[in-house]
Amino acid sequence: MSIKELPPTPLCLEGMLTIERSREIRDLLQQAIEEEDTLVVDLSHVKGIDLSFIQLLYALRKEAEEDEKTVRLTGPVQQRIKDIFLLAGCEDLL
Amino acid sequence: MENFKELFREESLDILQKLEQHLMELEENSDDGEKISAAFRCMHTIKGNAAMFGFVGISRYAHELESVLDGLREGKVSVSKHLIDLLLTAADDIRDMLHSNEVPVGEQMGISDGIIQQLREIVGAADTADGLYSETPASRSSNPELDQDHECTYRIIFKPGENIFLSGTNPLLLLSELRELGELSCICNFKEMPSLREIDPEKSYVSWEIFLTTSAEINNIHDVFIFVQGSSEIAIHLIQEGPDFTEIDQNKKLGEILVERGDIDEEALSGALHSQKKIGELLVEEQVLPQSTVKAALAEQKHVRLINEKRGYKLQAAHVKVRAEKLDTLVDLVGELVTAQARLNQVSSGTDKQSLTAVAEQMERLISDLRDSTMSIRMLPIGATFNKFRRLARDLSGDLGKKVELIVEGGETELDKTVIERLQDPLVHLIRNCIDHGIETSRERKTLGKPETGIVRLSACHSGTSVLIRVEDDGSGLDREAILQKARIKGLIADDAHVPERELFDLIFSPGFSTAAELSDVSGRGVGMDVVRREIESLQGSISIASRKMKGTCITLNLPLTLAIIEGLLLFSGGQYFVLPLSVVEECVEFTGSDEAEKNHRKIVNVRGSAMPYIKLQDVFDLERRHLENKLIQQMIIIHTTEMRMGLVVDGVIGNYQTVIKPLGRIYRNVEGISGATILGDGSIALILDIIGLEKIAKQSTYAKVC
Repeated sequence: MSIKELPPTPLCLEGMLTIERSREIRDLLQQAIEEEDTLVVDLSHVKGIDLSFIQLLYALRKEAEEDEKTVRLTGPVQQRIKDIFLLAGCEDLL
Repeated sequence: MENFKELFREESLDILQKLEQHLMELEENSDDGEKISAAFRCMHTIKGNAAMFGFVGISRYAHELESVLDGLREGKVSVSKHLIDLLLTAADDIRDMLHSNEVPVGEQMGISDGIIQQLREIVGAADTADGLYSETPASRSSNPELDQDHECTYRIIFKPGENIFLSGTNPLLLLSELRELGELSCICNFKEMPSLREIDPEKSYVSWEIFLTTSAEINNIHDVFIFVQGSSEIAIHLIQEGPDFTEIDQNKKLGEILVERGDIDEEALSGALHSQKKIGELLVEEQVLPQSTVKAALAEQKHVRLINEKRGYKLQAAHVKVRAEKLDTLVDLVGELVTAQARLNQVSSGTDKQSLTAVAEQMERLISDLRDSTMSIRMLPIGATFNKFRRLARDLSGDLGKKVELIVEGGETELDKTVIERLQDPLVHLIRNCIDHGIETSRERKTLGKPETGIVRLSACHSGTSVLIRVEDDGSGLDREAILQKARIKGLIADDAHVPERELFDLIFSPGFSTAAELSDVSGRGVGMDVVRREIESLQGSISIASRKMKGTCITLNLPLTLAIIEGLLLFSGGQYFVLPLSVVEECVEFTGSDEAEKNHRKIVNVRGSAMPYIKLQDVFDLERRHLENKLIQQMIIIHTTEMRMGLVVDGVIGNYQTVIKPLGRIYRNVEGISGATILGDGSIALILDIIGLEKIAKQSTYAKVC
């Protein structure tokens, strides 16, 4: 199998993805998008999010568009996390 | 935590001050909706903050008051003197609670309960929900019965300020609060989002367009944003009354703008809206509009946003709370710097080194600017203090049954912070005197042909290096006979002495002097005026009274602008250095023996045709006239005081000098003519001349030598 055919390794985000860690999360995402052409972000172990994380996802999507890469979010995402996306009117991210 | 509690206390006291003002303004103008809302916001903030810092009692109390203010806002309760009285008393109560640091118990609680009871009666009569104590705003707004008849749909634009996270606010919570008000759908606008590498993860870049169908009042919607409205953009528009609303795409914003501008009409817009493409592209494709028109509208959209952002920036007002001690330290250091710079000047003027002189000059300019800046930091407009007295005037006139109006002028006049603080008590006393003794009752005034409402005027203005503060009333004026009588009784003057008016009024400042026949709760104990004068004099100021029978009284306080550093003129006379505040100096002329003249034992000199009194410094201070035979020509400095022009004869004038005022010890406090001292560059001391004292000396018919 050539390298191109290997399924991309998902970036697993865990715990509370909130403002306190927003810089850290941004750096993680930044590094990941630079390394891969297709980035898969696994949100199944996320305990909580806030607006700062939602923003980062938008920013990530924009970055990917600019660099002509792809970003996918994968789960299963807990219902209450989904609710937060819904509340913020950002369900289009999921 | 203590620090935060302290901050909360300070802030709440500030807010209570504003609340008082709003309430009193409301009393004048009972349908000023803006004032009602402002008062409501004050109460709401106090309630929220109190709860946050554990002041449960205050929070609960504030909640009750908030309900009343809400009733006012909705027109269910109307403004009345009784209500304003209650609210003001409640504000006082909260102030006490803030100072005492505890939830009040026992008697205090009883009083508060009494007020709450009365407030509830007023509100209860207007038919609001009961169980006020247990309500919180969230529960009040959750599950409002979706009354189909009163449902409205609002379009809310909410753009949190970019630093909203830093203030600890979670905008999503606000969205969920809105959800509790009714049916909500929202669109998140992330157009402003930078890419991942550019984004500042701690800033907010999103905004929302929210559609809310609710039967709640628009004020309830505003309340959701109450804590962020200063730093975020919030716009609430009523779209329609009634429950229907249609799914609206983001693109309509551009479309709306185009319709507003008259570029297209509604039909074309809705036709294009049914497609999935961006409205702008569509309109260009369908050749409904040229590319440039769409670009222009887009630019408008962008432009409006840009302007709003910039406005948002400016709203972050530049105010910093600084502890007074830090300012004092700064002022001290600047003072030391000024002294050191004087030494540098001396050293540099003694050398030929060009480079040193240049630097010394530059230092002088910089330090002068630094000095001015630092001094101005400590300066506050006196208006805030004056306005506090409105409440006093209102209460007093109520208590004494007199009609009094307080007029304030020159509120923007600035004084040193400490001076303002120390003026509070004396001013209170003076205003009390005016209202209690000066202003007559409305009936008396009517009989005298005066307007029923008496006027007390507080004014402030700059004059040279001083600030003049006047407390005037248009009342009955000082009663000369009564003062004479009292003075005779107290043995202050001989029975048959003729006392000129000025000295007579001065007697009022004697300890224990009062012509009031009875002691009232308000004044009359006679412990006031002497304390007032002492306080003013300890501020290096002076106080004087003018009065006309039946017309009124005017008390003038003369205070120095700053207690620390002034621009001075360095002089010497009789081997001693002196400093004169530069602001009173008009000019400097030569003075020879032939200029000396006397009239009525007063030394008078003729300057360009006008006569003016003069004094010789060496005589005033009994200085040795060394080198007498060499000093045939002396210098006379013409100065102006608030009352006159006079000449000051000295041996020589050295030049401008930035004077760091150092107070003299208490022993020297009564020395007339000297108000302080300063240290010169070479370490010697120059005495700072006191203009008021010199003026007094010049006016005396003969002046004795003063040491």
